[in-house]
Amino acid sequence: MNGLNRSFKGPESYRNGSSYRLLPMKFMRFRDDRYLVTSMGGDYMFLSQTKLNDIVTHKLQQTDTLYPDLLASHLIADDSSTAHLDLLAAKYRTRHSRLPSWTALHMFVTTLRCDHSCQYCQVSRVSEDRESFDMTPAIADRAIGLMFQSPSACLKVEFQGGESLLNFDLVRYIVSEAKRRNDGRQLEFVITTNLANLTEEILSFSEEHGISFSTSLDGPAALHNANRPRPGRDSHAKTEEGIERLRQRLGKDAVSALMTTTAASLDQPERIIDEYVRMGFDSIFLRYISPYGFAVKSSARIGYETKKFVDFFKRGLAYIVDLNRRGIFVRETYTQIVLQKILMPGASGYIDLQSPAGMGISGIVYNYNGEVYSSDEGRMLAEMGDRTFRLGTVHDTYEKLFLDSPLLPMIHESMLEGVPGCTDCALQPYCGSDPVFHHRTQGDFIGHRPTSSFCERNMAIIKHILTLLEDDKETASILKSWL
Amino acid sequence: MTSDTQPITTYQNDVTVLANKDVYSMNNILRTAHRFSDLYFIDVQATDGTDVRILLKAKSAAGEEPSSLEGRFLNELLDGKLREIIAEESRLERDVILAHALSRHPVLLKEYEAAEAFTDPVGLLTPDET
Amino acid sequence: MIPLAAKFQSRPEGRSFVARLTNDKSLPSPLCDDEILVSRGDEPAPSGSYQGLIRIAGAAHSEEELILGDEFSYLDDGDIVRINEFAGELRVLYRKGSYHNVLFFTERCNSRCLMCSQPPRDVDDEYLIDDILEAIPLMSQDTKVLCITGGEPTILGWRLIEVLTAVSRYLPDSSLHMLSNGRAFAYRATAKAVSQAGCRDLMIGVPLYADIASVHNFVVQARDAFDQTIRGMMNLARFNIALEIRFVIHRQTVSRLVQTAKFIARNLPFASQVAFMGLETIGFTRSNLSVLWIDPWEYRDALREAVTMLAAAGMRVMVYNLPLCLIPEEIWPFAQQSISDWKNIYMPECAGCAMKAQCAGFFASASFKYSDHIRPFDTVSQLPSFSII
Repeated sequence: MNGLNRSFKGPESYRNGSSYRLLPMKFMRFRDDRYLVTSMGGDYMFLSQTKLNDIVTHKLQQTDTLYPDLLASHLIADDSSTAHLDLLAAKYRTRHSRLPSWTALHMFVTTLRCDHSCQYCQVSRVSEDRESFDMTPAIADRAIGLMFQSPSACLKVEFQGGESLLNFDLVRYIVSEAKRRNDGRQLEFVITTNLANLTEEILSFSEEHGISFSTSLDGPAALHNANRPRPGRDSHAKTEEGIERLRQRLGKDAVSALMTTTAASLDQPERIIDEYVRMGFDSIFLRYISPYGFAVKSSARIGYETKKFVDFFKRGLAYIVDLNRRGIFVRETYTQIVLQKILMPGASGYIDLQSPAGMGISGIVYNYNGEVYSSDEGRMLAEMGDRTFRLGTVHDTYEKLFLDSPLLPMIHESMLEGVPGCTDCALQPYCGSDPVFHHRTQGDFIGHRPTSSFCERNMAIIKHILTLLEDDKETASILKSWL
Repeated sequence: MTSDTQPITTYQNDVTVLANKDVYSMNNILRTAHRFSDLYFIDVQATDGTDVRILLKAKSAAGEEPSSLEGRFLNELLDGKLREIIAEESRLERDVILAHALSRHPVLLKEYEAAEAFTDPVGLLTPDET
Repeated sequence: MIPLAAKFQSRPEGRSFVARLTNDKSLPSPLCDDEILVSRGDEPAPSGSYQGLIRIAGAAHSEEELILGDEFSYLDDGDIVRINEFAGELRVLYRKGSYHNVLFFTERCNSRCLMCSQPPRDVDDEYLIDDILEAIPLMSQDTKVLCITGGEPTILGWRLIEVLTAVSRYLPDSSLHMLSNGRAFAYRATAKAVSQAGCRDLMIGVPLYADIASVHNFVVQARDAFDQTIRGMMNLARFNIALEIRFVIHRQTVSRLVQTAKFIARNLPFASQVAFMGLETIGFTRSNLSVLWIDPWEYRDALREAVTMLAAAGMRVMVYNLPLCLIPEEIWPFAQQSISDWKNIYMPECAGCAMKAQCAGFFASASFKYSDHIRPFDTVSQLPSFSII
């Protein structure tokens, strides 16, 4: 090299003399002539068909400008380095690092009773019958015992319903008991509630114990109240008032909100997002409707085709990006999760986008009547008569529930590494499996990928996000700021 | 999968694709066919010669143009062929990585893992010759 | 710039010793054993049982006195020096008031970086470690940071652990920042030994000059260095030793700057911080200047992309050794005043610059060759408030 002092060797001395080897990679035709190629560690590149062919058939030259990028993305390797073995192994371990700590999220269904009769909810009962639909302290005791047998260092207790606060006495009991019996875990409490029954007593108890809240907000008042009827048709006003009180008392971050997309939402993503921004939220989760929450009779009225949801999602995301461009910081949560999977190597905790499936491993449900389910959706399915995802009851031993139950086979079957259609999919490192969904919609835990709406929706969304990252620098930098 | 149980109607745009067994593996042909099972019923038959015949019967009348469908199938077969080359060539390295990821004991680089502190069996503390 | 060594008339029968400076002329004699009394100008020098006497900017009052010029008037109470009368040499080992105290371990190195500011020499310099081990017990408990540098400190083997142990015992509240090429930590047991030395706050700064082996190995002139460094970093993570990844930007590394940032975010997310560093035009850099020099102005966009990408990925990012006028304002919050005070200067172009107080400035060596795009700011620009740091 010209100008290099003669006591130094030139760059050619450190280049590899041999040919390259292919590393495990998956690819898919993305659009036009472009292929998306992903490595075992989740690095991705877009390549033309010709280039991909050249690479696989060993026609690529070391002088090709792509060569170093292919090496660094761990798509190929040559004799200059073996570090990719350690790095890929470490990433594989990291992605599965949630497995050893087992179940961290424990959902307690304190009651099935609810003052709302939401269209998309199958499980709740508008009833005063405490005996039939409330969890008893005895059941809670057993469930707490099971929770502390989980090896996880952090335990997150989530109160679910029905309307969990209609049985606030039990919430109070579980929080106090869990704290009393805590053997050194980091405990976290979240109450999922519609906020209509928030009292001064609940506020001070939550303040004292550092409890946070998760509520439902479907959009502007008309939409929200139509989706979530309650006597007085004032759900929206109650929710807004509750959010305000929680923030004043517990701080701005003490309450988060979830929205459910119904057919009535599809033509107004902007108005829904505006409502979140107006209420001071800095994130919104554009969630598709679960096919198990609602009764068959209402599905025609509130359900929709996957394609329509994807259009809604894209339109909403574009609007959110535009708000960011105008200096209003708000994130879309699903996009954020997908971005983390694409751009960051760490394990994602989001249950529906994990392989092996997150159910049972990341979350477990103790139903009001003592039944134990592998996921909240599994419990909802059971309310509709299908008990596939019931692992047992709180009176079973921990070992029986987790090791000698349908759980392990379900998890095993759902691992993407072995699912037809997923094994070859370039999006596999960014996707996940949802056995409940596929069981419900297609009759087995795996599903038939070519016709699975889970697959259709996730493919479309992940491809859309990759396209934004690739094609639009300004949008890409906004999206990256959400990580 | 209710549609699979309905009687099969033959539409105009059914397509037969011939794939050479010497070029495309049976595994590849079947995987590729699976990918088309959303919109087509599929029948795969061996012929007397080197070809495999793949019959794609549209599930509904609104099928794709036959020439475009055949082209798409052949392209997918070619993709499948590349996948097989990749899988074959990277199998060993993939197995090493998985073993390395899942094992508690060193699979690779034992000389680095086993050496006593500040001993230098590979000689990395000595500068390269200039 | 301040001088850290002085020559004087050697004394064949003289001593060599490490001692601490004191301004206290009436120190009780039992406390004088490790102290050198400093007098200035014409001050009278009382007798006592001090280890030695130094006079700055004045005429000798006695034969014992070592005379230093006015340029040493910065020396103060609590500073530590090595005086070698035999060689006629004084070296400043430690300055109590400085944030940039360096423990210089060795001149030896197993790499030979194209841009090394301290070209390695294969010499027997273990006396440096002896000095350091003598100096550590004399250092102030208030010492915030000590920086271990060289050469490559791991070449010293167990003597490195001796120093780490001494710091953890005598200066339990001080932070240690060690610069190493990280290659020796490819040995699991070596990384483990460092983790067990008991340092409360140790961070190891390891350079990575590319995301691919051929470029990194060329820059450090060592085969297999990339693999050893990557494995070294992973071992540091394994033993919970904080890691700083350092990327020096020059013509041979700049083409992989953005890709290396991406590589770090994806593969080495456990690093505590990532530092992007301007080139110091000293040492080997001068021999290889034409293949190394690039005006920082030319890579400002790439630097912005690398920094913002890592920051977005939640990593702590620093920009070292680059003046504010050469980097995009968007990444000013990441710029550090990184250049050690004793070699920090500003250029004639900087006269009247309103941002000088916040700016890293230049290495003294930079007057040799620096950017054509240096310009003073008229007004103090508010540093953007967002920062992940």
